[in-house]
Amino acid sequence: MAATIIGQGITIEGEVTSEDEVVVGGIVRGKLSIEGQLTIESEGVVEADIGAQSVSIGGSVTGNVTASERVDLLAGGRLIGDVKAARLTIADGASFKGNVDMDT
Amino acid sequence: MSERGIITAGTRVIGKISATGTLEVHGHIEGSIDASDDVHITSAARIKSNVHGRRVIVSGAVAGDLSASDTLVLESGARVVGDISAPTIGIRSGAQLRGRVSTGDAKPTQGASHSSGRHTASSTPRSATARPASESRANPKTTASASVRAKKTTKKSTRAKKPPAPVMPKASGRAKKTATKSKRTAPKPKVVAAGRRAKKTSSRRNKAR
Repeated sequence: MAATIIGQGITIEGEVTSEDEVVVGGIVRGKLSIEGQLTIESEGVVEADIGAQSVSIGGSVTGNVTASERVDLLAGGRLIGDVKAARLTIADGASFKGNVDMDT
Repeated sequence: MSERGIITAGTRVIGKISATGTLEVHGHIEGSIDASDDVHITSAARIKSNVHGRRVIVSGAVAGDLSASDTLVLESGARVVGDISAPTIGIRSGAQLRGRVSTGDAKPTQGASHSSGRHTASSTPRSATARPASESRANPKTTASASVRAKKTTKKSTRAKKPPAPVMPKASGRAKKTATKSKRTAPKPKVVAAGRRAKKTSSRRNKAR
């Protein structure tokens, strides 16, 4: 319940920092620094560098992703950018272009 | 459901937020908020930005101009430093406001960008008149930001008018006299006189230009 929700009709241009869980269904351009779980829904578009505990990508992400725990690229998810995380899953049907660094 | 946004208390946004759905803000925002639907600013929220929405309901702290295309309500506990404008405005008992209020259909409320433009045009007289009286009452945080803003906007006018204003009439008279007398004796007022002359001449120069 205590999650920041950036819904479908919402566009943020700038920097978002959060201690809570964040769900993106809208558009975020800039930077995302989140201490909790970040979920990018299938409608979500993120053009930003992402730092989070764990990231689940069902939408479109352009930017580098750094997670302290894990990154899940779901079916239908699109990621263009480098991933740095100890755990990474890429589901069947996801698209990904970039480098992976799991050496953390 | 998905057409809405919630910014929780642990979240900080620095930048521009535009929303077609409703927006609920519990956190920190610096930048601007422009929503075509409702905006709820809850008591935990701290906002340093202009806010525009269809209906804007404020219970938290806002430093910036508020405008609504329908209704604007300042609930009890709201602290607002900035101008507010909407066709219908409600200010509940317990709300604090420092700024201009314009209601009715006369003022256009088309967006945050528009109101910010209007603000720069109108803020000089407001900050000059309203500031000293209410400054001591308002809470220090918002006052600081407001006075910074006021300083920016009134820089020109303070240069032209302010220096003589805080000085008591008697004192200024004395200063002038001593300045003229003490040209040969005391060195201190000389500086004052020189400063004054410099200001006067600069203003003359400006006039000449």
